[in-house]
Amino acid sequence: MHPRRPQGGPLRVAFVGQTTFFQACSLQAPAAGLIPRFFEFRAGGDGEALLADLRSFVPHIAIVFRPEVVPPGLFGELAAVTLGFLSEPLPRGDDAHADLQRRMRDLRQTDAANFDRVVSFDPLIAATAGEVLAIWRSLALPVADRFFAPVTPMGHPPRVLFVGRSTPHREWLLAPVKLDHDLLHVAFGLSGDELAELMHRHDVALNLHNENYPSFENRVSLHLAAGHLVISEALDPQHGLEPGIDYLQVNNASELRRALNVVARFPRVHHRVRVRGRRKAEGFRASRVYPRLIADLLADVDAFGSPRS
Amino acid sequence: MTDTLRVSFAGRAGETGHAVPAAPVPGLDASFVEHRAGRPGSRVLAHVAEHDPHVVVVFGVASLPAETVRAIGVPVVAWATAPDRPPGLEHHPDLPDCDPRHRAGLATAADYERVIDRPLPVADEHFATPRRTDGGPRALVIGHSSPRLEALLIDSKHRHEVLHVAAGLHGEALAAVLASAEIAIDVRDDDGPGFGPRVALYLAAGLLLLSEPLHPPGGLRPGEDHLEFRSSAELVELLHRVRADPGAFHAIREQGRLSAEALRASRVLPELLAPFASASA
Repeated sequence: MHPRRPQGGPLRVAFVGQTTFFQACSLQAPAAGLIPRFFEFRAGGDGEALLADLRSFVPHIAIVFRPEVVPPGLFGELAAVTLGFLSEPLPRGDDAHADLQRRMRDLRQTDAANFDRVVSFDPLIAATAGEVLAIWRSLALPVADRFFAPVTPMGHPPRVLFVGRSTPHREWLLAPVKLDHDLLHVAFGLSGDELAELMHRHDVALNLHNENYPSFENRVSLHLAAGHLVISEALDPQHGLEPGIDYLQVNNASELRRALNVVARFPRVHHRVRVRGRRKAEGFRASRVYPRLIADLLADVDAFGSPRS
Repeated sequence: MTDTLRVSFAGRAGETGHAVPAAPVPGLDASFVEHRAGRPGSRVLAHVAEHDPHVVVVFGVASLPAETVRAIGVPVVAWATAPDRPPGLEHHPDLPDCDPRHRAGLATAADYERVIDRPLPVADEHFATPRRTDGGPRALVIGHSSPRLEALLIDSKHRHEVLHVAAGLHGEALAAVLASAEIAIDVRDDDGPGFGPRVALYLAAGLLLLSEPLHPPGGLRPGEDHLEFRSSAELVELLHRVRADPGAFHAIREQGRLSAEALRASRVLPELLAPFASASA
């Protein structure tokens, strides 16, 4: 069930997901012949209402973040090429953290027949996800163009931001930082203009894993795009980023505290890291990634067909 | 002593700063110094020397070293507050106040003129008329998280518009966030009774307060000036009802705003603190 696509004309692209998490990963303005629109949908949402909204937009392509939350069969009759974008960490072996096991259980709810192709944000989970869905390819979640900003002079003291839910692992790492610095910790619920404004008012951003397991969180690329100095736990995969060059890597609470204390005392000491990280973020820019991804998607579906066809 | 009481407050701006007026109000000239538990008291002493207060209020009985309290040359009162960090960090090696040797030097109730154990007031500048916001009512949670809080909030976070700021919110940023919401949710760290440190703030700002049962109630009446919930499911349902028909709850917001008057800083603080200052002034 695929729509007739205009020869060389613009393509309407629907992005579907929970605004709080995924609007910042979408294309938000027309680019390279793509006309985007974001549709709010979250776990437990009204699937029929979403379908009605999508049909009124008549998309050629629907890109769905967290495909596991889409009700079974919902996109069976949707006249669009559908791409599921896996965004959650998953087990990489038998001895997985309980949080990862829970996410794997969620993934098993996915109806593979809803999607023409599925992309994983992390190549290292592709094998695990492959037990449920055929993974077409892997790439990091893109960053909406609106969040790209030049590197600006560091505030004195630096303005430090962490955007992410609170977990025992994160609070353990953050506690000494909160003691020494005026850290703003937004745990949930910020998106759109408010998020953009918040990014603009900060210089340093932290990236901490949910729990004590490796991953690559999209907030890394988001903050790099905003020109922040990113201080992160070890990233795995790296998605092309290099610790010490594009961002600072820390391994425990003491290192995180020391890193911020150094920045507070010598605000320009890591300026080159900010500049390099900002440049590297161009590789995540939504208006660069999505046109290529969508062109490949359409060509691949045309060439090899789809389980939905 | 003059008619205006000069009071210096020591605490964390993001936790208790909302209780202290940023500008002089009738009868009270307040100043605030940022002090974090586990840090030396030198900054507090310097602040006191500069502002020459009639009385000093310390948020958190054990937040200052005892020797600092004794070195302050005017009466010092402690205001008992809830822990300002999540549970589970009691043995953190990088937190000074988790070290038994450090804890041994911290002030106790005996080091103060008095320990005040009552709901935090709210600074006059945070009082606002209940108002509607664009885009439907959003609920606000301010304060550190805990496993209990997450368990109570997780379903609501994923079904409704909820903003949770866990740390570092004060000043203009706090005012902006309060102005962006219509609903506030207050949840405690544990199952014990309590009265959240931001209850008065939420009511004064004109938000509809959804809270676990408050104990002591502090003069508030559930169903009249705020709404109670006891479980995650009840909170989800309450948010659903409020978001479906915000106007139906406006009278409760209005009454909550009125109830907050009893906790207005310019009313509470001079009356409460003047007796301690009079002896030395």
